[in-house]
Amino acid sequence: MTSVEYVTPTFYTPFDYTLKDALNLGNVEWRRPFIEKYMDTGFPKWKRLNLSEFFVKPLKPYKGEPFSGSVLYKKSVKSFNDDTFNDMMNRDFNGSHLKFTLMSKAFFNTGFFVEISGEGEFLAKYDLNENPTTVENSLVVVKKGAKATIVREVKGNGKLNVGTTLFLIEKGAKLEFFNILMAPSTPLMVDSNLYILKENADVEVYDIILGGEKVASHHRFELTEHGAKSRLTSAYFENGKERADLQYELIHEAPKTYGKIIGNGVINDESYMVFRGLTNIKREAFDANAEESGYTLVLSPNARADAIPSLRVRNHSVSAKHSASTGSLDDDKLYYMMSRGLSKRMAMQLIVEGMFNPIIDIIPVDDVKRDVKDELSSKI
Amino acid sequence: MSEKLSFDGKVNYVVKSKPGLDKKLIEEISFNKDEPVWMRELRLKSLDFFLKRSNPVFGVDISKLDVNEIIPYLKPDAEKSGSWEEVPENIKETFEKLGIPDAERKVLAGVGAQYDSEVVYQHIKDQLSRLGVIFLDMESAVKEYPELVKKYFMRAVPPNDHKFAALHGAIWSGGSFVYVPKDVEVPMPLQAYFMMASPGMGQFEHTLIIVDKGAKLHFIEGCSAPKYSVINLHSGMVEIYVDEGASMKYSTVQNWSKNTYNLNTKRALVEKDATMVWVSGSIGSAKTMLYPTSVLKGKGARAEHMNITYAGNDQHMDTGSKIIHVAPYTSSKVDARSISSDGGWAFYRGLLKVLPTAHHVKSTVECSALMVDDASASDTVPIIEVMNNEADIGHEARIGKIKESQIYYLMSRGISEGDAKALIVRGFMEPIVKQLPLEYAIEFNRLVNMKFTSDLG
Repeated sequence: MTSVEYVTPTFYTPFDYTLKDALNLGNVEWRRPFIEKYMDTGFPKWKRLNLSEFFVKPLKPYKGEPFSGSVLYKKSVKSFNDDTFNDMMNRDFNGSHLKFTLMSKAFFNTGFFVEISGEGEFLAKYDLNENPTTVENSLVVVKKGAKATIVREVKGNGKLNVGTTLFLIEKGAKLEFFNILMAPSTPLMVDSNLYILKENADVEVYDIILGGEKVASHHRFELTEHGAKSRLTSAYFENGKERADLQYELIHEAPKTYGKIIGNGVINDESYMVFRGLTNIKREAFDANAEESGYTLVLSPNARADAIPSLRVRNHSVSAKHSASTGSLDDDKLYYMMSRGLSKRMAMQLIVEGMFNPIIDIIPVDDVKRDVKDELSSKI
Repeated sequence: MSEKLSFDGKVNYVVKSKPGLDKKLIEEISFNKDEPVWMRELRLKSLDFFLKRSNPVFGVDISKLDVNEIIPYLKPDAEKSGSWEEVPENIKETFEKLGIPDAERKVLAGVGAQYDSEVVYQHIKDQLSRLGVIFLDMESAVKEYPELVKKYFMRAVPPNDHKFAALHGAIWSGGSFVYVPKDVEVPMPLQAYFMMASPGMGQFEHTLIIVDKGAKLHFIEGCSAPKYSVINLHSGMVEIYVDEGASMKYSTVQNWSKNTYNLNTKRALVEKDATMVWVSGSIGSAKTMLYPTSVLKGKGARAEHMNITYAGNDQHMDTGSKIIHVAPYTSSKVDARSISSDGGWAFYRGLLKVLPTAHHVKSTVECSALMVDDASASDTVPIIEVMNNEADIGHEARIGKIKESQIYYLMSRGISEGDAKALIVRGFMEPIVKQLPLEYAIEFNRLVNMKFTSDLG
C-alpha cells in the first residue's frame, strides 16, 4: 500500500548560481556534477516560511579563519581525494531541501572535514559580517570509540547562509554538537544536518536558534545499527518578523535504538515558528524507543506557532510518543511575578532565561557562551 | 461479518445511466429529480470544479479509482414508501441479510433507509411532526422547503472545497434533511441507514442538519454494504449548522465493503455557546479519507471529536479531525484511537487551527494507536497552528502494542491468549465505543472478538 505524499512545489529563477559562480571558488571539476544537478533542481516554494523568490548574492572565497580546536582538520576544498569524504558527499540527503544541500556541495566557500579519534574538540565560528554569503559544506567523522565535541556558530548580519553538515558516528563513538545560529537580519538561512549512527553510537545535539529573518533548520538522525542513541534539544527565540521552520527527524532502522527530541522556545512580536518532528520507526527496529516533545511560549497576539509532529511506526514492539503544546504568559503568572517586585520586562526575561540557561551553561567555549547570552539579552 | 453481507439480491432498475461524467448526464440527473433551477446550476458548477481540480495531494492512493467507471445514478423501481409494508420484498431481503433486527425496522419510525441512490423508506414519527421537526429525504426537502435548503445547502462545504466535494455537488443523490426548531429537544436519536446494493455503484448521499437556537439533536448514521468485486466509491457529505446555544451529536459507523473507496466530507458550523459532538467509528472500506470538521464560529462554542478506526487486512484508513477556532473562548477536545492489525494501515491526520481572533482558546488533542502485529502500520500526523498568544493547546500521541505482561496476567487467571488480547483491545476502544448506539457497539466488540479468537484457533 502506498499513500499520496505532499511534494513541495518548486520554482526556477533566471537569477540563480551557475558554473561561472564556482570558477573563483576552486576545484570546479569536483563540483561540476553537483552544479549540473543543482541547475536541474528548482527552489522549494515554502508556504510556511514564505519563500517564493531567490536572488543570487555574490559568492567569494571565505575571508578569515573560522576554525580552531584540539583536533586535526582539513578544509573541505582539500578533501577531494579522501574516499570517506566522497562517499558521504554522494549519499542521498535532501536536508531542508535538495536544492540547498546541492548548493552546499556545488558552491561552498567554506567548510571542514574533521576526523576524530580519541578525544577532541573543534570549533567553527562563521562571521557573516565579513562574509555576507556563506555556503558551507562539512563532514565530521567520529572514529570508533572516540569522543568529540563540536561547536558551530554562525553570527553577524549576512545576506545568505546555507550549510550542510554530515556526521558519521562510528561504533561506540560519542558526539556532542552545539549548533548555534544567531544572525537576526540575515534574510535566509538554510541549515541541513545528517547524522549516521552506527552500533551503540551516542549523539547529543543542541540546536540554538536566535534569528535569521527566515531560518530553515533540518536535523536527521539515522539510527542505523543496534543500540544507537540520539538526543536533540532545541531552544529558539524569535521576534520581529522572523520566521523559522525547524524540522527534526528520527529514523529508527535497527533494534533497541533510542531517539529523543525536545524543542522549547519563545516567540514574540509578529514572528512565526514551525516545529516539525518526524519519528519513523522501520519494521526492523524492534524495541525502539522514540519520544518527541515541543513547547512554545507565545508572547504576542500577532505571533504564530505551528507544530507538526508525525509518528510513522511499522514495528509494534516499540514505544513511541509525541506531545506538543503552546502556552501564553498569562496574567496570573505575570501578576504573581510582578507582585514580587519584578517589572513585566524582567518577568519575561526570567522566563526566557529559564528556558535557555540550562543549555547556555553547558556550551564548552566561553566566548561562544558570551555571544549567545549577549544576543539573547539584546532580543529581550 | 463480510460473509453475512455477501449476497446476490436481484433488483430491477428503472434508469441505469451510462458510465461517464459530463454536463448532459448531470442535466439528466437533475431533470429526473425534477429539481429547481438553482440546484441544477449548483450541480453544473460543481461538475466544472470537479473536472478542473486535481486529486488531493495527501492521503490514500486513489490512482486505481476511475470515477467514470462508476455508474453514478441508479434508481430502484421502488417508489418512496410511507410504511414498512410498502417496501419491496427484495429490499426487505437485503435488510434481512444485513441483520437489521425486525423490531428495530418497525419501531424506529424515524429511520430513513437508503437503497441505492434513492430513499425508499422514510417515515416521520407523529411525535416529530408535533414538535415541528422536519425529517425528510433530501430530494423531497429540496422541493418542499426550497428556501430553507437553498440557504444552507453546500454553504458549509462549498463545491470547490476539494475535488470530491465538487464530485458530490454534481451528482449527489439521497440523504437526509433535518431541521430542529428553536428550543426543541428531540427526545430520541434520529437514524438513517445507508447502503449500497448494486455493483459499481457510487453513493453520494447528502445530509443537511440545521439545529436552531437552543435546540438539541442526536443523529445517527450507519453504513453497511454487501461485498462486490467492482470498485465502489462512496463520497457523501454531511453539513451541520448548530445555532446559538444548540447542541448536536452526530454518531456514525462506517462499515463499507472491503472494495469501497470512502471519500467523505463532514463539516459543522458551530455558533455562540453551541456544542457539536462527533462520534465516528470506521471499520469498513478499502481506503477511507474522512476528517470531520468543526468550525467554532461563535464565542464560547465547543466541539468534541471522538474517533475510533480499525484498519484490518488490506485496509488503508486515513482518518482524523479538523477543528478551526475562529471565535474567542471556544474549546475543543479530540480523542482519536486506532487499531491496526493483519497488515492494515491506520493513519491519523489532524488539523487544529487557532485564528488570531480566537483568544482564550482551550484545546486538547489525544491520539493513541494500538498495533497488534508487525505486518501493520500506524501513522500520526496532527498539525497544530496557533496564531495568537492566549491559547492553551496541548497535544499528545502514543503508539504502542499490547504488553506481554498484561496478557500474562490475564492468562494466569485462566483466560486464553486470544480472549486476553480481545479483552485488552476492547478496553482500549471502550471509551469511544460506548458513545456509539448499542447495535454498533455490539458489532465492534463482535469484530474484535472474531479477530483475536479466530487468529489463534
